[in-house]
Amino acid sequence: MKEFNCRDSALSLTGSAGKLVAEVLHIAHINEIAACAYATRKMLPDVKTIIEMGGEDSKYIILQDNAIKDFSMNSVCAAGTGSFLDQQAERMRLTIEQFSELAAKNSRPARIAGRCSVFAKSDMIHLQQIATPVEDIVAGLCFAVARNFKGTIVKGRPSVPEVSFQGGVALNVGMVRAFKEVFGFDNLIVPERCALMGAIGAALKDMDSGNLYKNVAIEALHTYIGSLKRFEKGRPPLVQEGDEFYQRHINERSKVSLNPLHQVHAGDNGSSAKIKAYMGVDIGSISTNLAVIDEDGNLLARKYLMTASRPIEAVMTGLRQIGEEAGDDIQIMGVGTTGSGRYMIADLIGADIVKNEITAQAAGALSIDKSVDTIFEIGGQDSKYIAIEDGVIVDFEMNKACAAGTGSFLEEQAEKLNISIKEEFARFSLCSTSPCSLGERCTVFMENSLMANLQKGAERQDVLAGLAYSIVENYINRVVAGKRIGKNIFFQGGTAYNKAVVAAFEKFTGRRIIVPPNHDVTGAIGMALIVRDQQREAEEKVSAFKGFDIINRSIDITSFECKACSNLCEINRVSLQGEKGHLFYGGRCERYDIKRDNSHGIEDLFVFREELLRSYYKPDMAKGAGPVIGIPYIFLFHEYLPLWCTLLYELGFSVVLSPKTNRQVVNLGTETVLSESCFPVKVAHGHVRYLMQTGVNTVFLPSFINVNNGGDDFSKGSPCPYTQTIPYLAKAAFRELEVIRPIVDLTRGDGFLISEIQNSFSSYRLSSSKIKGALKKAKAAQEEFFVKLRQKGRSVVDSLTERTIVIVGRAYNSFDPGVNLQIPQKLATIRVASIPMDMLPTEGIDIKDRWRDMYWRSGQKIIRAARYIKSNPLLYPIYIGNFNCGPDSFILKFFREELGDKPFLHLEIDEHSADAGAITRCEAFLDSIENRRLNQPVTTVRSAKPSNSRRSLAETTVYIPLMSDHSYALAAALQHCGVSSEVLPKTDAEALSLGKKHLSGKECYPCVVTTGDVIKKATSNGFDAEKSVFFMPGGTGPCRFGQYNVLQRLILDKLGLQDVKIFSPVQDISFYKDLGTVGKDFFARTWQGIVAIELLIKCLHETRPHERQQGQAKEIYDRYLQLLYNTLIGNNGSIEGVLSQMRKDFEAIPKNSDKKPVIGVIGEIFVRSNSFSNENIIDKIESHGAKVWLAPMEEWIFYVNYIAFKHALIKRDYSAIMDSFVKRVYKKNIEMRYHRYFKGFLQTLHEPDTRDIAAKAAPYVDESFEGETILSIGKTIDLIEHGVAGIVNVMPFGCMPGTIVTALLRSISRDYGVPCISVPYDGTESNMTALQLDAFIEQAKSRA
Amino acid sequence: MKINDYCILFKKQGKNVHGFKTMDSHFRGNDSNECFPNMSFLCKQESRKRKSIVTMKYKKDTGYLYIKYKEVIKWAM
Repeated sequence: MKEFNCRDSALSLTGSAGKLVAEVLHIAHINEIAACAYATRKMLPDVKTIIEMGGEDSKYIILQDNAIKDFSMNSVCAAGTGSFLDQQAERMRLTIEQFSELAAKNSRPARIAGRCSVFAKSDMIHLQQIATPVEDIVAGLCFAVARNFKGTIVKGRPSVPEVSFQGGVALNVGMVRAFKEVFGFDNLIVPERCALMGAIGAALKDMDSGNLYKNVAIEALHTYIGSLKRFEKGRPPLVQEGDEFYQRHINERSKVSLNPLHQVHAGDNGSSAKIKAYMGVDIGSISTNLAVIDEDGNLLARKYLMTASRPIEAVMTGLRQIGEEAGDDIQIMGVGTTGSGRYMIADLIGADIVKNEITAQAAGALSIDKSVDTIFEIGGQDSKYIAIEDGVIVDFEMNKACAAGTGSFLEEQAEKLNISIKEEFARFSLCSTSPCSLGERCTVFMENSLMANLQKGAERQDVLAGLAYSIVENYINRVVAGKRIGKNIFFQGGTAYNKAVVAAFEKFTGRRIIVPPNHDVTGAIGMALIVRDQQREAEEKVSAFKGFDIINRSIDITSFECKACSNLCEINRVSLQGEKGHLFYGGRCERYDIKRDNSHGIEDLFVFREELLRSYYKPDMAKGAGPVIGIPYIFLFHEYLPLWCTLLYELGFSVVLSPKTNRQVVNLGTETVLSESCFPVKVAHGHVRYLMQTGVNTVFLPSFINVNNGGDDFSKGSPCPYTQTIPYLAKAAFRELEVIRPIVDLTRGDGFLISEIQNSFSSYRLSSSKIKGALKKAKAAQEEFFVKLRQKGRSVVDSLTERTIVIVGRAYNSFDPGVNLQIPQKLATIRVASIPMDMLPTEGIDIKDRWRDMYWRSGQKIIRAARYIKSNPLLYPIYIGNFNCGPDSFILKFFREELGDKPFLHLEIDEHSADAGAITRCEAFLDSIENRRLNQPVTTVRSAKPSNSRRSLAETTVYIPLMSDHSYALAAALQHCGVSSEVLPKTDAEALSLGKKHLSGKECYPCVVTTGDVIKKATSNGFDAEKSVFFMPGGTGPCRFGQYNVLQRLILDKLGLQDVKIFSPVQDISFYKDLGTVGKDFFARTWQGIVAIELLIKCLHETRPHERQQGQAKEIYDRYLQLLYNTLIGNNGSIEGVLSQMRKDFEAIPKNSDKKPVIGVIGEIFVRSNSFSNENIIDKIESHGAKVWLAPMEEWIFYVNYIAFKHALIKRDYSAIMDSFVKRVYKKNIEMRYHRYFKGFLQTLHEPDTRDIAAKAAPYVDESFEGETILSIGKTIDLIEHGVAGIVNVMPFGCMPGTIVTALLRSISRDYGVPCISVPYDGTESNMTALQLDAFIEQAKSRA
Repeated sequence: MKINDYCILFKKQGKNVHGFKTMDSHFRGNDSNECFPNMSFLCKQESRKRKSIVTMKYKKDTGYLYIKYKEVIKWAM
């Protein structure tokens, strides 16, 4: 400004970092969404829709009548953003301008499916490996980002013309083209100053409102930055005195670089024979390595080259260099390839053996030290963990398509901070005295933490050291995930160059780490050793290697789209000069794979199963005259298709079944799904939409609530929440669709099912006798299917003679060839037979001894299968699941526990899964079991059993996790009954970190928090395990909550804390029976306390936003909380007296009379009530000038009672019916008594009854789907009816009921016109959440 | 509002309605099987008396328990 000599200037601030600056400079900050919308309204008045894409965030804003009608932003799961494109351009050595031009020109963009930028990146790297032309990849990236935007941000919102594309990314011509094509826009307005729209808007807004901030003292910023101290609690410095770190590692490095090679000393003069040599080639995503060894294993030559998107070029460069250096002295006797590009390069250069990276890395390490027992390998895009015993791989793990905890993550972050990863990173971070705590998990989350810390003024070296810790934490928690870490640990891969990471590993594990010489090329060395050993044993010792001359031949790469099926794979054709034919890569199937081996003669049981299943669908009968009903081939139809097909045919309908899953179906699904959920939900949406496109308007989608029919050991067999709610989700996504959705609860007998079918088909007027007859035939058909399956399974299992793989998982995941990456077929090509899990003869296996609380049907089947597999030495399992699978996050641990020492492979699949990764993992798994079989077949049986202590409560202290202040009511009631009790302290970062350390990070957030709290207490000084009990309620599903206590039991056992007891009453009928053991009046006292504390919370939420003197309301709140606690413990105190005085005191607080909009807060009970978990969301909302109506705790307790009553009714347990009725009477009585003291004072006193909630939610979700979803939906509508300005759905990240609520809220928001937002929490502070919340409240205020 | 206005009603098939008012003493004590034995006892006693009860509800709490109680009677007898 000084430069322009502008005297009359003013400052406006917007943007994510602008907030802090605004605070320091005492300027009002303008929300960037509002700013962007304002500028657009002023400058482009015709624009109704804004696509804004900046460096780190993307927004979609819909304008109507000069106001923001709706908006959406990328959440914690950041889809493609500007900086992502930037990084990829750098990775491909292109300037962003070149990138833009390339993308605009090319007409055939490669298909890069990427929801998350990390996955998109993995996909891109895969394309590079298979030699896709760079310009296709570039264009594909732009399209992926545009599709991401459509899928994750727009999520089915309308795009009203005119549409404007703003933000820095709008300058990218390729992106403009991609948006136009993906959305089908005729016109996309890119304003001239597209990158500055937010800033322009902020200035215009301030000018128009007259809030001009002139003569701002910018110097204040400097003072502020100088005074800043970091806010996060620091970690210990990477290197401390006594570590001897520098002596061990820095010296070692110089030793490595001095003499890693063995001198080549023959050949030149032709007097002696050439040295026999073997070459290993490791083609990785970031680097391509070549190593040549002699017969004795001495390293003759090594090359470490950057792959830089061009694997063929990299290998050719390596061959040229080695050829020049030593080509005349050596004779290559064998070549082996490994790494993600191993197959293509093997064919290209002529390799004798192709092996996966795991085996190669282990061979490399073992050649250096035979006693190595653990290998950490961190490469560019992937990381591996290998456990070795006596020179044999016994276990391994790879990162599952998640790039967090890999080298490229570190590199990207370093680039963001302008630090050279090679020279400066380690130097800076080793100097840090107090490294930041940045959290772990996904790259994008880490990036958020990093930015938050920098914004708060953290020092650069502390942030860098924090990054080193993060990558290690991520690696240990997500890749190693609780597996054994031995004593002799090797750290390999390019990242081992970074001494900061080595130091962080040592600090984090508390063990010494060895970085072996040539750690960057161990894979290639290992491969050379493997090929040497193979060639020695081979009869014919001639290598297939095409010689170093290959570099002189020209290589031509083109690509085309395979149209053989609807997958439309991008196939690359590589032709080498002088050779006939082409090499093909890139297909999902083996159509172009020249090595296809059909001679294995292994029967494909999966095809048998699917053909048998689909044989009950008779398309010819579909041409009948009856009304057409569509059945999407999803979820439980993969098991129960015979039943429903037969039933519908018998009832006279024409059935249209959707096809087998293919890429087209998957794409349809990803574009229509309303909230970020798991892969099968997306596939399900795709199938429904496919049916709609073929003209089917009515689909049959039962809500499967319970598929155990009473004949099983378990009374409850719930499918997961998504399976149960798919009819509601489908209805929310496709409003014009008619969904026939009977409730299927097989425990309730045929009568119930018939009446459900009759009701759901009411418009077709079916008589119950007709349905009865049809159902009988349908059941017979279903039984026939199961019997045939079992017979076949029995005959296969009985005739087993060699090692066989069992594919474990849910039928719709593991057996659907469009979803399971055709793993069984791929196994067959390497001559390994596999069996579907449900063909195993598992009937009669009782797992109730250990897993009596397992309420998921899939969990019961999987654990049964595990027990069977364990008993059969020829069977080994491959577990196929999905990313974000809620039940699997628990079931997997139980599965592992049940299998004992038997290894298994877990594959997680989603729409981004690349075949290559899965095959590598299968191969490595097979190698590892082969080694195991040869070495140590002994298995040990563990005896740890989950135990629910229900005795001796009176002698012990009960520890209650602090979910909310209601926990004090429970503690006080226990004390009142003479049981010593204590509320655990508020969760802190240490407890959270402990929780994450012992869990895989996939469990829901409340589980992590409570587990952390429990472990922290149980491992603290002076903790007496004998006399302590942790209180952790159980549940009967279908949400994951009921499994927390089971998992925590396992973890405590593993920590050697078998004596620590967990008290876990179940929430249905037995809840009260369990609690009744405590003593007289416990129940009554607890309830009194809960109601009283609920009222106290309401007083706080209503008074605090209006108080004149800040802090007054909170002070009174704290005082009364203590008073209530004491009164509840005592025998003679009157709670009602306290309540009466409480009202008076709150009323007496001096208040402002300004009107504030009310925001309803609903969602998952733990996160919504726990201020640590929800990052004080209530305070945040209040700070934005609104007040909160929080859904009460009582609601849940009434609901539990309601469900208990319903179950008692179904079971005809009259004692329980009476009991739950009486309790309800008591609860209502107390509630009404206490509430009367607050009539006329509290505006938010009214809370609807459970039945009212269920009735309100009924149009969106049926009450047969138990859990919090119905409460959240019903309460939302109730709040809207009471005039709230907006709804915030607070949920743990990945929470299943929460995700369902998110999808259904879209419908509610549309129907009622009230803005709704879902805020997921996972323990990582995110700028995005704050910004979203900020914009949301602005939106709500404008409507209030 | 008087708390005593709230009572448990047992509706007999037909026009007559029976019920009893709730008192604090009803909700005292509990043992391992039931939360409020006094109250449970009263309810069971009432259901024994009214042999064809169809509804059992708490006032202001319409239709909460709408079940056919024939089997309850069997059990209660």
